Amino acid sequence: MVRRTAWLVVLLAGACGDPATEAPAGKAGAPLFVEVAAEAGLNFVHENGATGKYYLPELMQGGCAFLDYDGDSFLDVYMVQSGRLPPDPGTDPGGNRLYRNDGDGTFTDVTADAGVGGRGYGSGAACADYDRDGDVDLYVTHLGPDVLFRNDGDGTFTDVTADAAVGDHGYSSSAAFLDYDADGDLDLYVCNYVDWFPEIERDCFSRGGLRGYCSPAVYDRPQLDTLFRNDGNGRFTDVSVEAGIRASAGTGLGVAVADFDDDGDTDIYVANDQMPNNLWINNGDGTFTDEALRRGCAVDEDGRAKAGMGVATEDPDDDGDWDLFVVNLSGETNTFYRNAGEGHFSDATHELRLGMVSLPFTGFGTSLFDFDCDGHLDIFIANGKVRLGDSMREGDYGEPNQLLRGSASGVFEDVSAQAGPALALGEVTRGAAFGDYDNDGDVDILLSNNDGPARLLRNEACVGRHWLTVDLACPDRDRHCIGALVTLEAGGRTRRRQVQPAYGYAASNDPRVHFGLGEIASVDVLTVTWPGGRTERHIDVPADRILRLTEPGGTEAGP
Amino acid sequence: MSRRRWRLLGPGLAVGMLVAGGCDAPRPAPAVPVFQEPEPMDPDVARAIDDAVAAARANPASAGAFGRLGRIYHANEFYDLGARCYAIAARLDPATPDWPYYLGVLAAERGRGDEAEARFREVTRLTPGYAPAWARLGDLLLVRGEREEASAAFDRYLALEPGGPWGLVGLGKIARHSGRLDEAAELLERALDVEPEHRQAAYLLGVTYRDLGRPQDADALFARFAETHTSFAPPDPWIERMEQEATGAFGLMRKANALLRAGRHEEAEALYWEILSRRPDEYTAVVNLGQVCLVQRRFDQARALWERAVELRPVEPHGHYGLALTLLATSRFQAAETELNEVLRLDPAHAGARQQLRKLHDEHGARLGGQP
Repeated sequence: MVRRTAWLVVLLAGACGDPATEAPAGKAGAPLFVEVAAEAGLNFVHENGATGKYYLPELMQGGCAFLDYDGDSFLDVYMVQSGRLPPDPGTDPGGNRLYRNDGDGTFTDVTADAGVGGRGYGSGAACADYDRDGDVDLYVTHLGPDVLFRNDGDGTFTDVTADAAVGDHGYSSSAAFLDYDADGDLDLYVCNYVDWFPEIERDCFSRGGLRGYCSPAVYDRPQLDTLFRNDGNGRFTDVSVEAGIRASAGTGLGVAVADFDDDGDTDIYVANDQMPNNLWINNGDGTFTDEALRRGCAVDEDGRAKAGMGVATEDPDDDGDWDLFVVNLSGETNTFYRNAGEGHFSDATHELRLGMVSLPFTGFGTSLFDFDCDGHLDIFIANGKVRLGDSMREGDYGEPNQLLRGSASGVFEDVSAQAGPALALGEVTRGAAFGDYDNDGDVDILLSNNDGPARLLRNEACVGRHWLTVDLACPDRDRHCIGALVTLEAGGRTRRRQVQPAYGYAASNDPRVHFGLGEIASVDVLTVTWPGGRTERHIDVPADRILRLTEPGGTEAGP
Repeated sequence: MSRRRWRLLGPGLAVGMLVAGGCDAPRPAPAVPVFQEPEPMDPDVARAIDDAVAAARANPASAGAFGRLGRIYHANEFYDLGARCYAIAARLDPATPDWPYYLGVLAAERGRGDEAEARFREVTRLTPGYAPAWARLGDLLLVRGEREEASAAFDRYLALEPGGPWGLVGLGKIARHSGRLDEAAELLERALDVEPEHRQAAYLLGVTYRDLGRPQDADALFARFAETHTSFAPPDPWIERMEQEATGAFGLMRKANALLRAGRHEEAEALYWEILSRRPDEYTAVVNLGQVCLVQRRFDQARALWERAVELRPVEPHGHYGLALTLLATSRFQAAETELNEVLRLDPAHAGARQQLRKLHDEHGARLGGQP
């Protein structure tokens, strides 16, 4: 039974219009995405601090986040700056930027008022309500000490890194909040990359003698990741050793969390750069075991450890388990690991036609999402080289980004050419955050370009199609109920999504769950499985709305 | 231009060409692909390229000259220039299969599936007896999701190379993807029988056993996979010929490292010395040579090399660790302890150093302190 309360109402203008039979994606001939960063007021320009010394971190940085820091139901934007290299966190002014969404398609830089400029050489961001006070906090990863900004609920943040004891000193890339011990508060997993400092930098050359950036394997110093347990009192404890995740060091760049083996607790997958990936299976007793190799997701089907950058997990084949998509280096294919049940994976890259399209490019940010609201998950890949290409021109690392459309058959089709000029900019894109910043029912894309301007790709592809966005709130847990599951039954299909904003590369994404519905104007059954395991069902849910549900009681609000 | 080609041209175009110079006009010499923006380059590579460019300019009708230049570019990772040279060579001599083969390899590596397939099909038509072309065509078709055609290509490979692991693994993958797990297991087992060091086959067979409900067999294969560090490279003479053109120090380094991984220590050592004769401070060559000498129990030479590595890059734990192992092997325990402690200072997570130090203390703890 669905109870109505006045928790919050967000009535959306009918941006998707009337349902149309077999409506094409987007307006005829119009681009699927339009780049609007400048007109929206996002004037951030990333600086990598390159001085010609080919320091490894220069080319890896570029993180960003969609988060609703002020609770007005519009996604705000956080861009992570890098700056001088080697960094001096003690003296370097913070260059990160927080942009408040004004609700009219534009943003205002509120960094100074919010106090989140940060310090040091930034990598990425993770966003969640770790202190369960109803607002979203911000964790920023760095080459060097990371920073936790606690949201004070009044538009300002306080740097509580020292008090919270989460200042990981490694070279951190991506991070994820998750409740691994199911105690109701959010713990924190931090991926670390290479134990890098300027003195270990090497001179690396192509066979022909062209100077370039070294691959991480050259340093032979993979760095251990860190797991922080939330003690529930504003402090965290580093439990990496006792949890077992220090059993192997990896060059971690991307992290995805889900219950991959379907045993009721949250597991952790880490994409490593030129090393086998890790699948940390949660043993249910506070410890983890890396089972990636025997479960078939450490290496590709040829047994090769690829250059894992970003990773996304979803269930595009609707079989009720979490598949993995990892993006890799040019010359390697990206890899789709299909979960055949209980966390046993097989490399299905070629079967899904994801191999050939990925060979020319080096992927970083990525997502499995339904860009055109046709009911099938698609793929976006943010690309940018890490080694010189054919032009052999110094600094020429740009590549076009890619959009691959999913289908009922499971096969993906490269539709980048139809997406419009926004995808063909040829920049060095690293982080990509996905979310509906204008609340019009489709998923937009925020891009962080290494040593370049931020981009905001406004989605124009859902015209004439239905959708449903589910926004969960857990007043007794975290604001967005991270770890909750949303199952949707409509049109004879059952689809499942989880609430987890951490995926891709160095990014935090819209925590709301988005479903494209195509021609379906009403959902038969919507089931929410709250983080504690309790479930509730909603019958005949109308489409084209942001549905807000609050635990406990399954409170529905809306038009 | 041939008579046949003339017949293919439309009359209007023919008239136009006659006006422009007539059928007897010599075809313009192809422009030799060269760097537009010179970059710092290994001097040996630069010299090889200059010589090959001069040869191509002097022999503009020579497919061999352009093809050789293409191989030099290709081997030294100037792929676009290599492809342009191969294309000219292929145009000058359409009957030689090497050039479309290299073009196919480059196209396949860059995700240009249509072009790669066309090139490999051209090669198999020109030289049906060159087995690697069939295997590469099979690999490509498999990536493109064309299982039936891929299977046919691997069959052709196996007809030329009976029992060849390249073909067996290809067919094994197809069988796996088609759900024929028993058949896949049988093919992969055969590949491993032929080539026990075939990591790819070991891994795939492990996954297949797992899917067949044979977890113990699977775990044994995964362990074998994890312990096998050599990589199996199927023979491909044309590619090997191209690789020979990587004559610069960095090209030699790649070759030497590959030989080292394959356990071919003597060949690797010769290349590392060659590299050091050109670049005496090349850290990787010093370290890997130290490794070779240590494995071969040439401890004096190993120690000198590891000390040189530490001198070159004192912040690298690897050099200290190699030196420590060499000192341990020659019973210089106190010096070894110092080096192991230095490794752990630089890399507290260094499991090997921690293990060696524990073993050292267990076995020789009482003697430490008095050791010179």
